Amino acid sequence: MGVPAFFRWLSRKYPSIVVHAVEEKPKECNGIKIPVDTSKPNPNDVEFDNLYLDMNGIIHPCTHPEDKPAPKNEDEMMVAIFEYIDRLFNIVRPRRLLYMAIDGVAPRAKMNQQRSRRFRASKEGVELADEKSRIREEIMSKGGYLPPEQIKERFDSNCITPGTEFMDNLARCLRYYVADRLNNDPGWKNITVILSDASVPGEGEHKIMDYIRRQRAQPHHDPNTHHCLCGADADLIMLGLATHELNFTIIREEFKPNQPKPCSLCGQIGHELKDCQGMPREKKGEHDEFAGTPPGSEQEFIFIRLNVLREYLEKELTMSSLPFPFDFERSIDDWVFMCFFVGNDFLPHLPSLEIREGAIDRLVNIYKNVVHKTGGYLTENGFVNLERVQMIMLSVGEVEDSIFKKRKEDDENFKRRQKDKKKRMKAERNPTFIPTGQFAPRALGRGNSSIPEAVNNPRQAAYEMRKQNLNSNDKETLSGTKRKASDSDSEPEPEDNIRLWESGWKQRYYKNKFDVESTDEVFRRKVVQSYVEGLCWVLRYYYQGCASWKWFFPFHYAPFASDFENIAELFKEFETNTQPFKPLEQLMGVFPAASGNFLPLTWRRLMSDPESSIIDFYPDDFAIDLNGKKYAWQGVALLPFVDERRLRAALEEVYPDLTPDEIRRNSLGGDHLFVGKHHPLHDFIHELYRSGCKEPTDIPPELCHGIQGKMDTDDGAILPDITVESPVPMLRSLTQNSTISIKFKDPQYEDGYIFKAVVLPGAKKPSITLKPGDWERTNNNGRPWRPRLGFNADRKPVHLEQSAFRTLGHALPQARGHQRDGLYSNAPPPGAYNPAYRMPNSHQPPLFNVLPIQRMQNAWPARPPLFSQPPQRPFGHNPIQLYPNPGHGGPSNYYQRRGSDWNRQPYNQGRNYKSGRYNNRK
Amino acid sequence: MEDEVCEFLKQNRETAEWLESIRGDCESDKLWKHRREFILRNLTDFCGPGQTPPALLSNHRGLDRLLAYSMVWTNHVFTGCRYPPPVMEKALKMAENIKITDAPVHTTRDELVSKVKKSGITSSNEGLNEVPSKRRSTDVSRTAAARTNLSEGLNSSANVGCTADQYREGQRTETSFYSSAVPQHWSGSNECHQKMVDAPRRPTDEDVKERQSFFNKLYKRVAWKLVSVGGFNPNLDYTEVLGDCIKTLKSTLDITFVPLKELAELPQNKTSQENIVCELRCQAVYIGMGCGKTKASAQAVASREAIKLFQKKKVVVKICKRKYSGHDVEDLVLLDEESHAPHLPPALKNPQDLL
Repeated sequence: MGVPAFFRWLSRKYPSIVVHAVEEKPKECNGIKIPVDTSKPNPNDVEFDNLYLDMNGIIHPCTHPEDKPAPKNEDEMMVAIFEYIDRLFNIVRPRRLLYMAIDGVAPRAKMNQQRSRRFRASKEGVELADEKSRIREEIMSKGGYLPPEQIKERFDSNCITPGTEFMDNLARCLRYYVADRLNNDPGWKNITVILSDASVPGEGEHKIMDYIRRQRAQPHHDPNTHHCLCGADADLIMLGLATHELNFTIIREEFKPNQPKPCSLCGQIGHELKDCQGMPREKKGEHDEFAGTPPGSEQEFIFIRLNVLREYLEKELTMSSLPFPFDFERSIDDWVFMCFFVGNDFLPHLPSLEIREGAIDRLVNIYKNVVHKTGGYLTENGFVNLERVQMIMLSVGEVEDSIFKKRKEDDENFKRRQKDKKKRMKAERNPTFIPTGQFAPRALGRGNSSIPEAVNNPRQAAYEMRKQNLNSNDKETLSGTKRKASDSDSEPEPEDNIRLWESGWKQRYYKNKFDVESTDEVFRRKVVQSYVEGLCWVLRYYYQGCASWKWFFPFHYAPFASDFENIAELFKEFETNTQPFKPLEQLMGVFPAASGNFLPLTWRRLMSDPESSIIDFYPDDFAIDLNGKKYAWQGVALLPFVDERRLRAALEEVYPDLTPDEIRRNSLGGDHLFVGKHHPLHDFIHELYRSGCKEPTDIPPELCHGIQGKMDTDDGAILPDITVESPVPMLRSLTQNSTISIKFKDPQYEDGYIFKAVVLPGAKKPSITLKPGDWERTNNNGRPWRPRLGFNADRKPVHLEQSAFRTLGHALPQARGHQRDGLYSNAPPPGAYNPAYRMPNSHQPPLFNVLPIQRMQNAWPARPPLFSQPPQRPFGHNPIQLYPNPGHGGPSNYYQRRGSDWNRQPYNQGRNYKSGRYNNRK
Repeated sequence: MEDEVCEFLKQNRETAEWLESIRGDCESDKLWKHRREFILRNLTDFCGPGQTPPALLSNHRGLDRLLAYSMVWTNHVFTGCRYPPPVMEKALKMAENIKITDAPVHTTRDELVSKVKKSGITSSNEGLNEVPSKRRSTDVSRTAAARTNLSEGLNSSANVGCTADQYREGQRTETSFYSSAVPQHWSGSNECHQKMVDAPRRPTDEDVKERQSFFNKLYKRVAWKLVSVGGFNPNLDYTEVLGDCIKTLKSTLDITFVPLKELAELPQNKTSQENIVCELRCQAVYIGMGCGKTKASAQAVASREAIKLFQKKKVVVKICKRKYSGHDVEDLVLLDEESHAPHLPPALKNPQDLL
């Protein structure tokens, strides 16, 4: 879901849902990498049964990463994807099933968003390439150095769309990968792998949901299956809740703000493309041994525990004295539904509901107030009760006016505060004649030491001050800084002609956004109707699957909550038996003309030929309405909608031009199931092939942990003792293969079957994580509540023994609060003569001098690292010293655990969520 | 025009019904009214002169192409899309006689990203009713104090204006000249430039000083002139006011016209009607720009912009970077004293050969 703020809001409000993942890294011994044995118990103190991968969340960062240089070619990309899956597998260690789902053709409702993303991406890609070549030219002309341009095609991320050759290759590579791991990796020995590639229609996460839904509805499903779903989209949380499975965890990459990104021109970290100077690369460490990515820069993972979120929601949503029995599961469904108002991929969000302004809390409050009157829940099994929804919407509508006014007020307050702050900062700056640094005047009796600090290194400081004066000799300080004209905000605000805070906002909104007069009730009603249909469609999509492949919201903006009058009559039923687009058809629908190279020639021509009968779908440039936002990518792209009839009619003429390969790529495929030779199902499947069975066969439930579905033999299957050719030149072919694959189809249900949104009988509730509200009252022998941090309630907390504290006290600066003047305060001034500070190894450059000196003074080689310093500091000649031998350092308890706890540290720092943290786009 | 369409539809019930079947579900009345006219006007060209137009579901190719163009045109006019030039040309030609009264204004993505602000250029249908700057500049003493001796070099003959018609010719040669940077191009049709230029050079501080005093004078002239015509108001003949003032100082106004579509950097206008851009210079200093349907209206808008500038507390001549045929060039620009980082539209003439 394109709601970046949603996860931030959620993790702030319900912090205990987040658990940091523990990752066991492969060890290296004598230059040989020893892979992690994933058949061992999970280091996270939890065992997962099923791991679901929403592959698009993996493909994007692996093919065009933001935090490291991009892979050179498609082969490297594939390897990067394999490694990423390996990492995830190592962390999660599923024991029964690995389900990989690549986005297939999406429902029409999603097409508008996809179109807008791809039209923008294509333009951004071209602009970046232009910018790069321009700066490269500039740098070269100034005599700078840049690594030679790699001969590679610009990777157009638009190729990550079903139907392209890239996706076809990817599917092939993943089949090879699965076969390889099933053959060779002990952790994979007993698991079943299902691969749903891009030829299977449906978005990845919804294919996964469909799978879970259909398994849950059959009698052999284990109600205590522990699911783990990988993906960064916020709607996975909603989807997970919607399954009503009690053990559901989501794993995603932790987003760390302000990570250094390498310059895309010279590949160095520390500056952006536009500031690139073409300087030679700095040597990292004496022998450049620290080159490559700096430590700690690798993305780490976090778990989001939905069972904890359920606990939180139970506390929040439970209502007493209702006119009907309270059912927590139903109230969760209502909560999920209300989250859709705030944002989802298929509908623009209501103007008055902004997640940053606590819209969900507001909705929950209104919901609790209104639920007494509604006489029941808003939704049931994914079907909406519109009369009740109307009550909620109109209640929101009542406060809409004040929301807009408050928004304006907050905005202005914020601006004023910023301005005041700027002013204050300016005023607080001392005049230049007041010395700074250690000579700065200090008020008596302030700070935590009564004695003024001794002046450190006075010569250096004096030198600095002289130099500073030299610099400030320019005109500016002599004649005083010229004042700028008042109120000069550097960037002019985009004009807002809606002014939602002034009366008449509704008329202005409709006039400006929809270009209709305020009197045009019919049109307004149409917008509301479409939105109501949209809400029904989205909820159904989450709970029952795609109701209509054709439906879409045909406007760029949402109506107001107060417009939702008499909505019950607005929605009847969706058109049934709609068909998804074929992959190439969908490509025609979402690509700009600039990405036409992924399409056959005659198809491509339809995108640019003035004679084409669908030329209106492909504008070169389009309007963007910032809609109160600051950057172009945040705004609403006003792209024309695709007319399905005309698209199909135009394509009919070019269908005969497809090559056999393109026809294959354009067809809809199915899921594939893979097992290794130790799996109980292996022989069963092998027998199907041997007997030449052509009928779809049911999976015997006892062979596969109760997983059900139909299997059908596949002509292009991977079979035992048949070599699996490697699709990637740098990887070897599998000559001794024992993996077997077969087509797989989810269990089918008759038309009109309704999947029940309930907890299955026999499901055991996981133990609680949150502190019970009545903890103090119930007798716990007076024990205080101990917060649970990880998956395991009985996990031993880390503690230090006395000797460890002694060690720490010895290594850390003596007086904690006492301010020291930084790392280099003991360094001799440049060119100083005082030999007392010099150490024998003074031939080294001064930077590397500093730390070894301290260490040698302490004369204890196996010191623990100084915690106040980041571990990635280049420690010159002896980096090994840094990491103490666990057996050597004394309080071994602490150090043995250190490996994992060290990993935790960045997370704690990261908790300080900065604003804009989740603003990075996908 | 609209009545014509209504009248026609009243007489042709069948066509009217057929048209309704084409209307999109979510098309607003306004949009449909215009698109309907577009379709009607071009129907015979695309679907043949038959009595009954082809049914929508027949996937008639001609009809689909017409529908596509009707969408191209409405997307362009009402939603702000831009299409490749041949498509645009064709759509605009098909819509030649359709009048649009209130097309919304949009900013396209490219404009947003490249930061070409619309404010850099004013078109004749916006801002006419706008109240000019509140600060009426009656601070004569200040201007007088800032005055330096009028430099002798500023005799009016030093600055020869190009007439508009000559310019079109000249502009093309210039463009090619600057892209190839071959100096021998200084011959042929480019007479008016030849007279005053020895070699292209960049503006210097000297140039600024010289011109500043001239503009201080002009500033006063405009102020008095406005007093005599009853202050700045929308009914003024801006062209005349500005022209008169400059004439009394024995200088000339240098006027340049260029069709909008030749300026790649500028936001193209939606309605296809305001397609002439006018740039005003005096003493080789850029003072205003505007666009309009005709040369006269474009010049009026540009003059209005210039006069608005003279309403500010003080005007200064500065050397600013501007775009000229895709490159940054230094140009002499007349600015309000208090404006920072002005958004300048691209120059129509190369400033460097005006000096």
